Amino acid sequence: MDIKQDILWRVYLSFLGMVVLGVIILGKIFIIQHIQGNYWRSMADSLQERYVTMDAERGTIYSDDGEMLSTSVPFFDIHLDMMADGLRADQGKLFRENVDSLSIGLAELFRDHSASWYRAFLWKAYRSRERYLLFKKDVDLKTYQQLQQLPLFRMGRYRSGMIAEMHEKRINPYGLLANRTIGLWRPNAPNVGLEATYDSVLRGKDGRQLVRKVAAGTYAPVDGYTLEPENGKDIVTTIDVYIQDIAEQALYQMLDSVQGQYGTCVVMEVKTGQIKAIANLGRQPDGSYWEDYNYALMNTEPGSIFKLATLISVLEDHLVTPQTRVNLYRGELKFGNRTVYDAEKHNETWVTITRALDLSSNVGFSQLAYLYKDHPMKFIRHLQALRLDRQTGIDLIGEQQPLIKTPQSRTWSATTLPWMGFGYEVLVSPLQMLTLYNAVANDGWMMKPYLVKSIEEYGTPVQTFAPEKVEKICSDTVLHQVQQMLRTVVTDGTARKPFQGAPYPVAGKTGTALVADGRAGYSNKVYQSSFVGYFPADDPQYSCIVVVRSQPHPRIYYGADVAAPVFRKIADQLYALHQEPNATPRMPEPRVDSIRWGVRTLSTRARLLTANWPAVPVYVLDKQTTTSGGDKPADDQMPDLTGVGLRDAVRLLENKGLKVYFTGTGRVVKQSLPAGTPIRPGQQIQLILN
Amino acid sequence: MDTHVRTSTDLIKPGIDRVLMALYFILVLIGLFSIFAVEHRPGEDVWYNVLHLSKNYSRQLMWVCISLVLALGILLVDSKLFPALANLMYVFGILLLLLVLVAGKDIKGSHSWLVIGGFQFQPAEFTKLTTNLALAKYLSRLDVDFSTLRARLIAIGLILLPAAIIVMQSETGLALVYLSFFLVLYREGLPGIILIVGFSVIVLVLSALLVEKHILLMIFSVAAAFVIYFMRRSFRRHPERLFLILLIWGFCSVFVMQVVPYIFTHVLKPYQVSRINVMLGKEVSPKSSYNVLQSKIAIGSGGLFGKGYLKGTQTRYEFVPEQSTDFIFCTIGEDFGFIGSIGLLGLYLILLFRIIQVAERQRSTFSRVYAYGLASILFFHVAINIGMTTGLAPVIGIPLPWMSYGGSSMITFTMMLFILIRLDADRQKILR
Repeated sequence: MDIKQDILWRVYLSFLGMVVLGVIILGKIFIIQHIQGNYWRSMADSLQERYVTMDAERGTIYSDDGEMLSTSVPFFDIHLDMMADGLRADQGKLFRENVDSLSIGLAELFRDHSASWYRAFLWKAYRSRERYLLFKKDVDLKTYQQLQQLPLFRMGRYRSGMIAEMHEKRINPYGLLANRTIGLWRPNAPNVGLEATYDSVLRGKDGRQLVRKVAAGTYAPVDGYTLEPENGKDIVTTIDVYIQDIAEQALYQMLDSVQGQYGTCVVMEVKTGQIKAIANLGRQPDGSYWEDYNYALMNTEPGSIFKLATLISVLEDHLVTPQTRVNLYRGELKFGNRTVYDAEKHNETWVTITRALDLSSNVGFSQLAYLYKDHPMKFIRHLQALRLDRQTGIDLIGEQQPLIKTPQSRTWSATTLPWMGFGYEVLVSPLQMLTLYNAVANDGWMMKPYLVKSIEEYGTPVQTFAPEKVEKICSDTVLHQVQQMLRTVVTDGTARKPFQGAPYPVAGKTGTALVADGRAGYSNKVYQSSFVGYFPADDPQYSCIVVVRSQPHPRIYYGADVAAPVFRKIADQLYALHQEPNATPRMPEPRVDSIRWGVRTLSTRARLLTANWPAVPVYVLDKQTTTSGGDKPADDQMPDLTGVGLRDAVRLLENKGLKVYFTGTGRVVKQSLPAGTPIRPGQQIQLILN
Repeated sequence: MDTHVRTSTDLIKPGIDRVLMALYFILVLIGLFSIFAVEHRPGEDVWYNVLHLSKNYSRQLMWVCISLVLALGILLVDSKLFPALANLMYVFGILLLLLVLVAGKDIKGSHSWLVIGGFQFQPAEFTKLTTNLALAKYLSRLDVDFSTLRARLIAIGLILLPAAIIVMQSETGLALVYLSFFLVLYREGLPGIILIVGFSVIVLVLSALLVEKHILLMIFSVAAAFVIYFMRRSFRRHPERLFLILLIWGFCSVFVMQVVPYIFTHVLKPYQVSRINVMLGKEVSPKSSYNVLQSKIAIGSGGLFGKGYLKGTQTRYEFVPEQSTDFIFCTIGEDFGFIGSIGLLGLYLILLFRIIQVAERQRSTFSRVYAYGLASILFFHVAINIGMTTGLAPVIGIPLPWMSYGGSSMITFTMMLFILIRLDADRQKILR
């Protein structure tokens, strides 16, 4: 009986123990679920849901002729996780078996180190057990795709440990071309040019998306909690890559031959005020030239090209006529204790004003301005009417406030007025001078210069900018007089030599100004040569200004010798184009230092399409100048557009000459012409987007 | 022998314990649905996954089917077979364990798996069955008197041999399961003092881990001094008591000062030390506490009634590692809340109670010991598994019977239960 009782006790005790433990566990569950419940629930919510930012795609800057001047392309940073599970399994079997072939592949792909270097690097990395070792930075898409095909790396992130992180990088496909004006956008860096001016348009608006965790490392978007990113809009500039290239080339060649400090050249379309080209080249310490500042917007003493303003002023006030005679005093005239010298030595005394302009006589024009000695404000008001005291209002940040002194100015002196007559004691920018000359070419109507003609969204303009008339600068009589006089400068005056034999008439004005060079002032003999004018003079199409600043004590510095030849070169090529409107313009060759665009007519984001053209790199970073003909894709093939955004698809197809119709929004899901079929310009294509 | 032809239904039906059968099927179904809840994603083709064994739940279904076939086989054989084969199977189990040491495969840090034709098999699970059979067989032998030290040592040896080999396979968690057999020994007459001593040792270990060892030494010394002071009169009559007290004091001191540190630095793996430390609150290690933290979040976010079946986010979005295996309880906790947890624990307690009831009605020692062995093992698994999901017990990685994903565990537990059912069905006939 005792034993039975004992056993029964033991049985009860055992089961009691179980029940007690069960109760303890239940108690613990109760504590977790109720007493700490809110804490765990909030932990759960914070874990599984979070907002992610969806980056808006930055818009592209296009040239007038549809080329991309600045766009975003994907680049990849490659990191290595040397502790990846697959890599380490079986004492690193996978790594050991593949490290040799991978090293060879890497050496062949990057061509920067030998295979043995890579092998040593990888082994060192393997031993270091690093989880996030930087391997390569800024790998472009094509190289990245090839990288993914290498042994080991092709096995994916978890087995090979290769981690690729994409980031968009802004590039200027044409490199130097109008670089300063376009600007190069970098996050967290001060920007310049159109990238900065139109940043709010280009940037777009980042979106927000609530995501919920669905698997380890994977998040799925939650419906109804999406704030779609507003992609940046594209801007179409007035810049013409062809003209820009001509201008930049001509300027560069002259700068290079005279070793100038800097030069700028702006080409404007006479009737609209559109800037067709804007080149700014500054000499770098190593002797090369780079678009380092927007010299076209920088104020300087303009020198002789300012004489146009003086001329218009005195003619409007009927103080003189072009035939009025003025004494040039053989090129030397004293005002108080200062002497005016003519830039070129001569023996002239009494000449007509037309002749004085031809000779670009400072003596003559100082006297013209001095006609206002009793009413200087009358002269100043003329300059103000010519808008020389105001910014042009071009859509580009960085324009400086010009300086036109008035008698109230503290620095106004007795000699200020005569010196203003030939372009000193005033500060204006080359762009302002060009705007004035353009007005003369445009029947007296001053046009506001501008760089962006439209803002586009998915290939359709959302905002267009029409040419803007500012005002008429003078009476028609005066206009015809100054037009005639600017014409004789080229036919009989200082600019005769550089325009000899030109098949088209040119009107313009040279300028040779001794300018203050920093602290050294005028003693360093730094000259600013300029030429501004328009062509063809009988039916003006383009106006253009060229300004070149010399090194101290230059060998040649006259406007006619330095700036005018650049003008001539640009005008010659534009005239040739004008004569044969049907001729295909020779597109600019990419420069030695530019990112060469292998497939020129492709949108950058058409990178998705390269799958169809396996042998063709979309772009190549190349230090060697090569002809671009060799690696162009067969242009007559229909690409696979699946997954491509509408904007890119339309650009791409229209560049190929197709007429595009589409339905829906978003990304292309269907195309009426299957990929790979031959296409010809004028064909129609239907896209269905979803 | 009866004259009428016995059909298989006749063979199985009489004496089958319906309560055990019903509990078994309920638990297996809950398990299947829990694994399904972990893995199922809206819009997936369930039948495709089932047919192609592409998901854990479909593979688990396969294991359930295999288990049921084996269970049917067990119900069809003569119950005399089990005691007859017990020793042979024990030896076979030990050989399998040794084979694993030689030809085993490393999976998730333990060297305890055999890979046969694409299937992974863990003999350490299977030997729970064979050890239970062998223990029952030994204790039911007529020539064994469990009150003798020799019999006790042999019984303990039977238990500790497979456990020792399993420790060598780095599966300490499964090895600890074998300690639950001591409950059987207690039922069969092992003095309670041994369990008390064992319990004391556990308390000693815990205090050695939690309290600075020199302070413990002082506490022991002061306690011993007090005891000696109060018992000083009885020492004249019983000098051995003084000796005993000093012996206990010495043992405790050496144990705390030397043995526990040695075990921690030389026997246990760093991750095990870390897990124990995390459980004791001595260490906050993101790695080893991550599982438990995620598990707590899952259970904690369930609330009173849970989020509803297939509505749990923590379990389904793979926050909890080992979701389908060791931490399957989280699914219940999150989807069905406190009510569901009570229900599941209740089911297990009813099962244990029923097994003990069944055990006590056996007339054969073999059947009774076997039943107790099964109850002990089930209890240990359930308590430790749910304990570790709620942060009560260290994460030693043992499955929840019939719920956790895994073929070895499913087959082993099914066979163990159905052997009991078979033995119980024949309880009237056998007296061993």
